[in-house]
Amino acid sequence: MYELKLAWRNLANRPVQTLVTLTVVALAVALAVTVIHLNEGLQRGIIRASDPFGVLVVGAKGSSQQLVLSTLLLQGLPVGNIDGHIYEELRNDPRVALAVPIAMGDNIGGARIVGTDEHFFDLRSSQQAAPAFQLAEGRIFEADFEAVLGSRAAAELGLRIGDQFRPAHGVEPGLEGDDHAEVHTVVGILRPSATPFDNAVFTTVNSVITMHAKAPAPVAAVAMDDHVEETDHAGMEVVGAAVDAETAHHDEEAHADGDHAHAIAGQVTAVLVAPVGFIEANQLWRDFYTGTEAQAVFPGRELGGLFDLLNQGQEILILVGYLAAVMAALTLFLAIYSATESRQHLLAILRGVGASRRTVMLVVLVETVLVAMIGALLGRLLGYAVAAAIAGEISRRSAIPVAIGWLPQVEPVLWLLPFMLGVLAGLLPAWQAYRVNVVEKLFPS
Amino acid sequence: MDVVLQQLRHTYAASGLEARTVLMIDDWQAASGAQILLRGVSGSGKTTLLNILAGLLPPTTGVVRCGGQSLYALPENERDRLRATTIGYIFQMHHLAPTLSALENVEMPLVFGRKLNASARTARARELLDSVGLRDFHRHRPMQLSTGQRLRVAVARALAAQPALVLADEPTAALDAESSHAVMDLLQESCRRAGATLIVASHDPALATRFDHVVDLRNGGLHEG
Repeated sequence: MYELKLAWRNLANRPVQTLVTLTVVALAVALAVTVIHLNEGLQRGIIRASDPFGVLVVGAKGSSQQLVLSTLLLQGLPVGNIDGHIYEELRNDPRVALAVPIAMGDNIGGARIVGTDEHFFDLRSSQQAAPAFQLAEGRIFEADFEAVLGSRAAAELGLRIGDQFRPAHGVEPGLEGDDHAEVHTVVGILRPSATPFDNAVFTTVNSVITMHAKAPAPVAAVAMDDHVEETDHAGMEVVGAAVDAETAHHDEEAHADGDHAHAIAGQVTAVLVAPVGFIEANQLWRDFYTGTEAQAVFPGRELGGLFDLLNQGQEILILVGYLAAVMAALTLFLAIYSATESRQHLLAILRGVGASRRTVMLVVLVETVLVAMIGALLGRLLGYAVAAAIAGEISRRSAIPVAIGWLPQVEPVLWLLPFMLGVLAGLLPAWQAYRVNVVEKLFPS
Repeated sequence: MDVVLQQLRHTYAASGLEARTVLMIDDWQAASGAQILLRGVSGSGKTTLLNILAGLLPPTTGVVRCGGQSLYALPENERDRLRATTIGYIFQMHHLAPTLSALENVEMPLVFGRKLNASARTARARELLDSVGLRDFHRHRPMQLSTGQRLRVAVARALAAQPALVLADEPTAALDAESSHAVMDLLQESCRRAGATLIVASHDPALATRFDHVVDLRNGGLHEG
């Protein structure tokens, strides 16, 4: 296509102007690509990360979204604790196929300590799927203060089987200064699961409760104070991943008895529940909804709400992207329009040696579309690179696997939009090219 | 290709200025294969006449026939195509495309005329550039060439499509005598070999001896010299 060659030569003849225009177009496209892919990658990552965890999450009354985020994605602070009898009742409920307790409140080097039981390691995304959390080496904990490490936690903490550690108080490092006295021993290390639990340390619920029972008051996680009002309203005495001094005393007595069931009956942060069927899931949800002690939430529904928020954010950024696209189109128009005079002389030469009006109009349109499409290509590369870098950082910080992938549904738009902008920006210059007066341009006298 | 002009008038009417009729040619014709020198002082209308013959400037009134065909009865795109295939035009200022190489400039009419495929086009353009003594300048841009070299590229471009009518506007104006002879030799010999009609507009008296047929453009009319 000769028009393409001519257009390319025209662009190459004005390298600075072309480069500036390309940069503006590329940045506009990069913004859109980054926002769309990051949003999609984040949503997919969250869905993937929350995939293995049953149908219902039962936890303290309060923000249902925060309950899901803190329990399944280990993001933010737990809403509060629920009384252990709720877990016991769920475990014995015929409508429940599997109930897994979760107790939180400590960390080791930023990796959250998750108190749970062996059933956690049987969680899977579907009945046919393999368990999500499988041992790479060692075994599952069998006694209190034995720990199984997520793959990333093991790598980052540099702990191996047989190593010992003492957890720090609080779900996040720096929240509280004290280390617990209880020494934990690593007995197993998990394979990567592509969930935030890769950066978790698993032990028994009793280990978590015992640590807090012995911890100096006030032991409730600092950030849990935000939820005092809510949890008080729910009729609970204590908040946070750990028990407060009064309950600690109460539990201390329980531990002294060596009564594991009593310890469970103390406090847990949440319970992951796999009901036997869809109807039972709804019944359970309704029971908790009408009750006052705890709430049951469908993670999918809460994540849907979270995605709505993300999408709202994306819509705003997309709007910014549209504005950037308009600016890019104007820059493109300006670049082509400002070169009109020199281009018209060239176009007149082309007409003089036999090019039709249609041909010279095409040369200009191809030129603007070429810039738009090259800009789009560069913008996509830049957008992917930025999205991948941000995704990597999010994954590094949160352990949510944010993967930037190919999105066939947005591909046509990401190409079509710059194409249309190129055509739009080139319309007036192309019309001028169409109307160029050969004799006037070639023989100005 | 024979050229016939009938009742040709061309008037320039600029706003605020009095209209000026530069061409008033009642009847004139050039036989196919003829080589004609069109003489006239600056501003006499030589370039205007060549532009009309090239299909670039519709006359105010009158008929222009090229090869029996009324040029301005054709739609504009057909006239464009004629310039790419049948009429070669050497502009006074050469008007080479500054963004293209010498070779690409010569290829242009072949592209627009769609006469040859890409490799044949390039071969033809190379051959022409070699024949005008620019063997080592195929890749040079017009800005990298001397005036004489640019003219030679323009000549090669005008001859590229093997046109039946070649128009040249002051082809020797910027050349020394030696270069002028070389270019005119090339132009005349090429047209003679191809049987093409050649019309050269010039006020260079030295060229008169090279042409059997000389016409003077005076007061808008053509007069045999």
